[in-house]
Amino acid sequence: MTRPPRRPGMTLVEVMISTAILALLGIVLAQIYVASQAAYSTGTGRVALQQKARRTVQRLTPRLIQAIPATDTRNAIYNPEALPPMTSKVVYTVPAEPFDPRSPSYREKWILFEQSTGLVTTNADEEGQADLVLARDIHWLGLEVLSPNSVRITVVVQAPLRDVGGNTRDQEYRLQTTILIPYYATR
Amino acid sequence: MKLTGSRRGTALILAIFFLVILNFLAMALLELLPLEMRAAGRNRLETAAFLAADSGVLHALAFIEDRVSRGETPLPGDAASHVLSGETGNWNWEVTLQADPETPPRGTGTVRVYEIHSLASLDGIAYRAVRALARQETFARYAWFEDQRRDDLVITTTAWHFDGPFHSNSRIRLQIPNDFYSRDPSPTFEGEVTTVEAYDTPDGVAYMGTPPYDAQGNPLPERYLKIFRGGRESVRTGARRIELPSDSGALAQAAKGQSPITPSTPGVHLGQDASSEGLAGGLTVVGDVDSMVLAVEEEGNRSVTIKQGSSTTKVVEVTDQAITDPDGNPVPRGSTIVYKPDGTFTVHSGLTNGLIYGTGNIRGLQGVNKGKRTVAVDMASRKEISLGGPLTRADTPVGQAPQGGRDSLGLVAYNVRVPTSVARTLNPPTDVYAAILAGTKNSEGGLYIDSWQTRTPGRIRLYGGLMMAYKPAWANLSVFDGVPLNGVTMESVYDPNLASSPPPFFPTIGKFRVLRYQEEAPSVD
Repeated sequence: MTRPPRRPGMTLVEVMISTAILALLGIVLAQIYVASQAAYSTGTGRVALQQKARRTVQRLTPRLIQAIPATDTRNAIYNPEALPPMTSKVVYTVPAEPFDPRSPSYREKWILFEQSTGLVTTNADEEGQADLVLARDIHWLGLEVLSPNSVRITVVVQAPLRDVGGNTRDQEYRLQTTILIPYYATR
Repeated sequence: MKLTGSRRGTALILAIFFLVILNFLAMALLELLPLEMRAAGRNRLETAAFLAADSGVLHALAFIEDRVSRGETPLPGDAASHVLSGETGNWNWEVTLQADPETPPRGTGTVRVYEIHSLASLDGIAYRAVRALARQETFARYAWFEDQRRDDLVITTTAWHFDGPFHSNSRIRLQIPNDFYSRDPSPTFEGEVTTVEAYDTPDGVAYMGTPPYDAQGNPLPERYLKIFRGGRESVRTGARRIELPSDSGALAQAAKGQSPITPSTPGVHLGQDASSEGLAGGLTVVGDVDSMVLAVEEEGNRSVTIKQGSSTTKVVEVTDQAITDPDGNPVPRGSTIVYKPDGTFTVHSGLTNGLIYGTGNIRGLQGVNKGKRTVAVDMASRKEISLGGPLTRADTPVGQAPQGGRDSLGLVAYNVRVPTSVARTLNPPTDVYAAILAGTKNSEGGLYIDSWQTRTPGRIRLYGGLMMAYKPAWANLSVFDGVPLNGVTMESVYDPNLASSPPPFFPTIGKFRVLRYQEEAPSVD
């Protein structure tokens, strides 16, 4: 009796081993893929938070930079002494319009953050008008006057993030920057 | 392992599979990376643009101050604007200087105001534009200014209190009483102290008594803070010399207005415009004045009554409420009515520029000032202003510090004199609300107290500043506690509003003050 000719192919053992290896590889690669997706969404979320924090700073900077002292003995910018908890506020003086350089007058403006609402507000440029909202959904905004011509702004923003396991947690981004008001304008 | 036949396909499948996965990862990275890079790049650009634009403003300020201190106009010729440019690194800035309409030589004002536009650009692209408004400072910014000081004059730290900027073109000597550092009063100098000259001491100041530094010259902060509010850092010697004016010609011109004729007959003359119809200027008083009383009329309008011998002239500016003239005709707001010595009156449209200029001595100046006003005399001819009593202001209750600059008053004379009839009680003090400039460059003009050696002690409470060529002696103080034995002590309360809102045509210094600063265009993405 002659043995049937050997056909090219794999034995059952070979198929099982290769399937197992492929399955293992598949699992590893799937995990890499899922992790990279999670990293991607975390990354884009963080970028969005960063942009939000930067936008907030950009809305405050041009306002604070024009602070100027009304007289040599008053500061252009200061933190009020007594403030309710979980709020921060900075008060600064700006030229009052219409501005006459030979008889100048100045008015006070403020920027206020209240954590209970997450709003950053400022008083309007003209008396009697409603306050303006500069930013929303801010977790914390620190406005710390460091010297007569510098303010440290700390913005903390948060956003919910769904992780690989489907759990939701808060992602936080903190941006800290110091604004310098030209010293020759504040002496 | 060598793959043969159809088994080679598995390698291909695996390679493709890996490539796809890697592609996903690369795409995610590529999408995140530019966002981060753009944000970082933008931050760098913004900072560099800020610094470049600022360089332009600073250069412009230095340029203006330099030209003015050398007696030149910052804008060459009769130009209304001037362009400056420069570079910092790869950045370029271009500054346009513009004079406001009142700035000399085009305008008739004495205080210069310039608008500075600075544009920062990189490779021809504009990134940031800022606008600053700078105004020339006047002597009214000082609480105390002296051109010369005798070396034997001392400032007793317990008897003096300067609560604003102090400048001396010479140097200062302080007497420190024995227990001074253990006392707890306000510091003697509340503001910055600048002197041009210095003693050969660790800080340039001479101390009689215990100095605020140790034997090696190291500053002792707790002692410095007792003398100077800002500590050692607030005292600076080697400051730039600030010259007093040598005459009051600019004030005479501003009082005269555009009238082609200089008033010469004794009496009160109103500054006229070129056609001699409207009011354009202040009051020129020719001849000596026996008394000058500033007042607020019943209707709230401001007035000045000037007595020269038997002639009395009263000038009422209808600043608040319309009145009727002696003939019963209405005089509207914004008019000026002059009651002449002969009993007649004239009505003029317009108000004065706030300047009262005397060609002779003005004696007996007192009253309540309303609106910005400067009373000046011919300094080159060594004319004087003598006080006749308190000088207060309508916008401030007597004894309180002014809260604004509405009624600021300036006195400009070779000498300002306190006669024996004024300020010879310690309580109540004589209140004077004014920025006083007495003396010309290198002169002995100053604030003089008549018969200070012999008369009972008195006190002047000055709300403003005192700028003198020379500081004469005013009082004999007890060396123990600084209490005056005779003469007059000066208790000065600095009015910072005088710096930002000086009296009209008050003499200027070479410094400029930035009154406003703002970004003109948002920074670019």
